[in-house]
Amino acid sequence: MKKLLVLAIALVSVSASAAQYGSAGCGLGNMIFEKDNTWWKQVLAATTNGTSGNQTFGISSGTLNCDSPTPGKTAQVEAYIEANKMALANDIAKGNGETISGLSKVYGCTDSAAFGKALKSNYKSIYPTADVATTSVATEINGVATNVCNTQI
Amino acid sequence: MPDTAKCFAPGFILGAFILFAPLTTKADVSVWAREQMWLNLGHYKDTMFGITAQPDDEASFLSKEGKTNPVAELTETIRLFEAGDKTVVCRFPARYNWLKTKMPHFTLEPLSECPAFKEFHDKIAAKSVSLIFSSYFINSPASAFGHTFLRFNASTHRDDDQDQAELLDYGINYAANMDTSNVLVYATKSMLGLFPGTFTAVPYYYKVREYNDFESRDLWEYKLRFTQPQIDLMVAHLWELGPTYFDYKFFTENCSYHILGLLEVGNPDLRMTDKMPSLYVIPVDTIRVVVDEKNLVQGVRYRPSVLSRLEKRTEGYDQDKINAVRAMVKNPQEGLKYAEKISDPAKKAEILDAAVDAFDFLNASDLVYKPKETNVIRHQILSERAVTDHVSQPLQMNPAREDYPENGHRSQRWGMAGGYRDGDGAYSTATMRWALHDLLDPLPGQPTFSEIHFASITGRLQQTDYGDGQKFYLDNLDFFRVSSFQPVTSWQNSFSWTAKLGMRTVKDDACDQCLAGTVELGGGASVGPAMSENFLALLTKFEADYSDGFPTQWRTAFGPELWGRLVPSRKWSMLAILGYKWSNYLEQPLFADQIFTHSLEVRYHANKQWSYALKGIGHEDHGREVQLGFNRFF
Repeated sequence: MKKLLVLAIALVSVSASAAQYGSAGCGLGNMIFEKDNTWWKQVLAATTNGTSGNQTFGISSGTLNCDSPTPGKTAQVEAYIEANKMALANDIAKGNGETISGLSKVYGCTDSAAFGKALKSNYKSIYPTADVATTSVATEINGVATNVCNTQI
Repeated sequence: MPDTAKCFAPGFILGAFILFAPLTTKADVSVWAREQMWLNLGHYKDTMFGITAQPDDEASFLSKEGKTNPVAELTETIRLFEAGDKTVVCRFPARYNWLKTKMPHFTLEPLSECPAFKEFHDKIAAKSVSLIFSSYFINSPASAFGHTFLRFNASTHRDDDQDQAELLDYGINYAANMDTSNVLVYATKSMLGLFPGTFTAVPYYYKVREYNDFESRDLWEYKLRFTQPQIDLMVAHLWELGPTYFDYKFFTENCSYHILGLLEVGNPDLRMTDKMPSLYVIPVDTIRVVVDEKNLVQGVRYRPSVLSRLEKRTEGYDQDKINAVRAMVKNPQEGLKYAEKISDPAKKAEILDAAVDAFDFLNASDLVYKPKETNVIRHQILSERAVTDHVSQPLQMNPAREDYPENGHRSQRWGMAGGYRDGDGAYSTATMRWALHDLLDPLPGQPTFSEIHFASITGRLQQTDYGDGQKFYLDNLDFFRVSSFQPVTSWQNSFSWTAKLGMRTVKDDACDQCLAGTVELGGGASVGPAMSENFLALLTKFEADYSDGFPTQWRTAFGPELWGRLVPSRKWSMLAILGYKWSNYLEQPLFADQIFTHSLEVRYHANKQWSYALKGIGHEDHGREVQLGFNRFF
């Protein structure tokens, strides 16, 4: 999961390519603490990490200086689906929500509400099992977008 | 001819001078170098050792003296720009664009000259900027400090009147780049400032997933008022900061501090970093500074965490419904039967939506680290939800103004009190606390069941022997005191705990006026009515004091403590603590003594600045005290 996230970032992050002067490069500190609420770790964290913002999710590093190519739309959609996996599945089951609005912008859908309803009725084909690969989710959503929004990427 | 030759010679020299001499004078440059914009672009600050730039990467200065000499840095910048070095222009587009306003012959357009910078600029496509505050995480007092970052609101996926796709915007985060996941190494290195801090840009949806879902922290979004040129300058400066780093300093130059510094590049009239205390920059305090600026904040939006959403959805649920949600989350095959019996699709959708939030909250960690196994149950709930013919509308949550983070009490506090001590006589105390919140401080905008005391010191002037003498001494020092008393609820099985490291002056029969180092640790559980701020906690507590004044140096105590807090209104709060401990206060060996302790404190919060406190302490050997005083937040 972490690796996927890091990869996803490399794809979508802003590439402030700094090849000639940026030696910092990508990916220092891509991780950090496992989610851990052991009290003594919290005490430690209270005195140190408290003001830094938590790095638990391991996604906020190395992204400004990465020298990565501009991703195509497909990669962008897949990164979006990967990172928003849970929230997107929720919204598709409900037929409405912020992750659908975002997705419909990426597709250039003018009618986000219709897109949401269509995704809802296709829930079973988008998520046929509990463990679906992001690429297959993307393909299914792409199909819905083609039908409903007349756009595809 | 000779005349011509004479004239020619000086003429040639003059011509050469006009062609090659700098068009600026030294005087101009030294005036510009003092302008706030230049100081902001270079992050120059006055320090004890003179003026210093905060970036710690040597490569981020053009002049060798750049770190401590803004004039030299500006002179060198202008020299390289005039030499027409495009790599330098593309490295420092904000500097260049600022100098363009002063030097008419600077005619390059970084956006057309620098493809990589243009790509960055176009991708962020900033139209406006929001400051985002990530509030506390319910079970982690550490997060009481909060965290701040920026979001550039892009023009590309925004209609004129709607903020509908902000997930696609870029979040700008400043954080330490850590190279360890070992918490001890991490703590040590971070204290010493050994991590480089850098700016990163990631899609906002990562931040939302991280904070709202994974850590269950509410987000507060403060949309700020800047003009388009100001926004563009910030983005150009962010580009300048990309390859550089600052030594990450947890107390001062932390995430929130440098975020303010970036905003100040947009508008040099804002002097927010100068308003921060020099010892300790707390993120929520930076929010206050921003809110206090006239006309800076345009609007505030609240983005609820998964737990806040769950609590909202289940508000007013009776125990049957709560049980049904819990059953769906644990064993959907059985649990979903409850939902299947509901014929109204809207009502069925409503309870399923609650179940999804409950599942996501309870399994936040597993969903990230063990997605395959965890998704099995989730998939069952969602499949049922998908075939329920009802589209849910987004949850509307609008917290009361007084609960906004900036409306909580201020982080620092001082106070004085006068009292009477049984056996000795009258006394007075003065206390200074640097951060942040205790269980009796006003609750709005603060973590409800947590406290975090950081660097709190109390001095005491005590009459002794019924007024015959006087003594001034260090009464108490908390390096830190951190507690979490989140009651067990339908959704949370939290462990309650408290920990303290500090010093105190022991006053009892065995050792009067002994300054001791002290450690306290306690763990247990709390209960409290739903949606209430009251709680009752039972802890097992361990205390150890070390002083040369004790015959055996170490004294320890061990036993149960009962804590009860009552918050009858926003104006009043009360905390009672009863303890029974086995100890070696007087007797040896360990735990030969049994001691009963009790204390009660009542506070009245007159307003956000002033609280009054009445406190009584009873201790068989330490003696009894009663005191009245005030606290002032600032």
